[in-house]
Amino acid sequence: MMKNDYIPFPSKILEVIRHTKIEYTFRMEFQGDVKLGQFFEVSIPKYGEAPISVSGIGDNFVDLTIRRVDKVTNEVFEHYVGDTLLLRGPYGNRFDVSDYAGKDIIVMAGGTGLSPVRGVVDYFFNHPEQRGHMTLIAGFKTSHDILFRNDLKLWKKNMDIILTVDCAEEDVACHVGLVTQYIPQIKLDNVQNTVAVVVGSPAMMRFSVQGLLDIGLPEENVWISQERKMCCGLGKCSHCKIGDTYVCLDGPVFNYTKGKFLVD
Amino acid sequence: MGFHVTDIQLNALFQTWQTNYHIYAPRKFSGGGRFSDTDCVRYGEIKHADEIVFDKKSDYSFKEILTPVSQTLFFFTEGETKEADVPKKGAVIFLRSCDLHVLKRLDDMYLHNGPADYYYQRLRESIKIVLMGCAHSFENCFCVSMGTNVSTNYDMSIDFQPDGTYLVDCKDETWAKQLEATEVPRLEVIPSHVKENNVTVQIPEHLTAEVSKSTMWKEYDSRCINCGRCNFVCPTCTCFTMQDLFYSENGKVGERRRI
Ligand SMILES: Cc1cc2nc3c(=O)[nH]c(=O)nc-3n(C[C@H](O)[C@H](O)[C@H](O)COP(=O)(O)OP(=O)(O)OC[C@H]3O[C@@H](n4cnc5c(N)ncnc54)[C@H](O)[C@@H]3O)c2cc1C
Ligand code: SF4
Ligand code: FES
Repeated sequence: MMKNDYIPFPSKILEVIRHTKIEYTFRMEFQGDVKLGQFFEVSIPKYGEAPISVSGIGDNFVDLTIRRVDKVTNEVFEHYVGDTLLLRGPYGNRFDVSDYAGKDIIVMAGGTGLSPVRGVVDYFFNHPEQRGHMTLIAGFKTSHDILFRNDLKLWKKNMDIILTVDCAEEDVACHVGLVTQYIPQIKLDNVQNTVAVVVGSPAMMRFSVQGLLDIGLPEENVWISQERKMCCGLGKCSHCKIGDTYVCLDGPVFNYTKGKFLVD
Repeated sequence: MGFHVTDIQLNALFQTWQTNYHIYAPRKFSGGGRFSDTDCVRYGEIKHADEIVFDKKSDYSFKEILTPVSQTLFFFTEGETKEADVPKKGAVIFLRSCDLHVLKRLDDMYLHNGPADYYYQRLRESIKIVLMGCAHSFENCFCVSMGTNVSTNYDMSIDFQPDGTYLVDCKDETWAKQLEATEVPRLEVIPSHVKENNVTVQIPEHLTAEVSKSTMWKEYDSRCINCGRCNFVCPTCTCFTMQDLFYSENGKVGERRRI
């Protein structure tokens, strides 16, 4: 029997974790092969589909951290624990933790960009023996936009965390300014043995990668995850195509040597 | 295996095909042109050989047969989905050599780029190809430059003769047996193809995806009104989008289509 990849399957919402007013993690029932960096299409009849990255993986669930934007995501927020959503996927390639093993690791995330790399950070939090020094720089617009607060608290135990918001606010204990400003503060031993993962808006990624290259990281040590408008997720509709690359098949995770060509 | 058949014999063959297949070929749609009182040649279902237009090129691509302009993927009711039925019959499609090369491109995309496309594959597996020979080149044809003027991967070929008969080369064994049984004259048939066109296209060497950044596209960009028609004109374009349609205002029942 041929497999029909277009028909979504039902998945129960096991838990909802609220980060901000418009960003919740939906813990969705799922058993099957899924890897960090991949994404699902949340597929809601009548409303359409939205590609959403996996922010966590468990034995019988995947976490989808969703920002409420418009049509589809608004409808997702009408659902709660015990309800069922329809999903397709997982699609795309993955963050391969073996690429980073044994190295010093820098993760730079802007806003919801923390969601696709959350699993990677969590993996190396739980396996500190598989890496050298680790730094996470996470930037948000304001303190109200900070995601994964509990994780950030926990991760502090064995990695450097620089949490920053765009503008100064009263009574907020975090740094101020853009993530790129904090690149000079990263503890660097050997740039050749340092890898970086950068995820955020196109502008954030452009400036952050440039900052990392400026301090001497080789391009091949940098990975990015691209968010493109998508439709099928299956390499058919061409919505995600840049040049001859299909972000949904060849990505969304790219080594910067390839990813640097994916700008338009 | 080659045969020289009359329209009566060909129609008899068509008759047997119609048990399991729809037959699609370029045919005339009177008054169907882009301007008033003009005709149009495009793909449509035919029953008889004389409906097929041999002396003109189709104005539109055959690809709508495999990738319909609007295709229902599944129906939904509250919480349930039901896959759209497979068409009951397969299709015999009459194609020019250049179109057969187009089919390869569609296959590359829908069958080999990522997982095979379910809806394309189930249609693709039930089609048969009849190659229409080209006795001469048509306006704007440039197949020779592209190396698409010759095709051999057909189930049957057909060449219309000035006396109203047809030369066919039949590779499909069942069909060949059927023709043999009616004792039509046998001879060696090589489908006609052109060796030169009025238009020659020079393909730049070392062409890469870099051309997507060429300033040439500025003119297209400036005129584009996002109508999506280019998607129909280009036979090799596989782009689509999906749309949910609901039958009632409460919206719980409907279908997802690709368009
Ligand atoms: C690989 C990938 C992973 C993603 N991961 C996440 C995630 O983990 N969490 C999350 O909240 N969002 C993620 N997104 C973005 C998410 O898919 C869009 O926010 C969502 O499709 C919006 O759908 P909507 O129907 O609610 O809004 P729409 O009505 O579709 O659009 C609302 C607005 O958002 C813009 N928009 C639509 N789709 C996208 C898109 N794909 N990327 C950027 N802008 C878009 C539109 O132009 C419009 O301005 C991801 C996108 C991709 C391609
Ligand atoms: S002459 Fe060439 S381009 Fe023209 S219809 Fe025939 S095969 Fe196609
Ligand atoms: S999303 Fe359709 S080809 Fe990538």
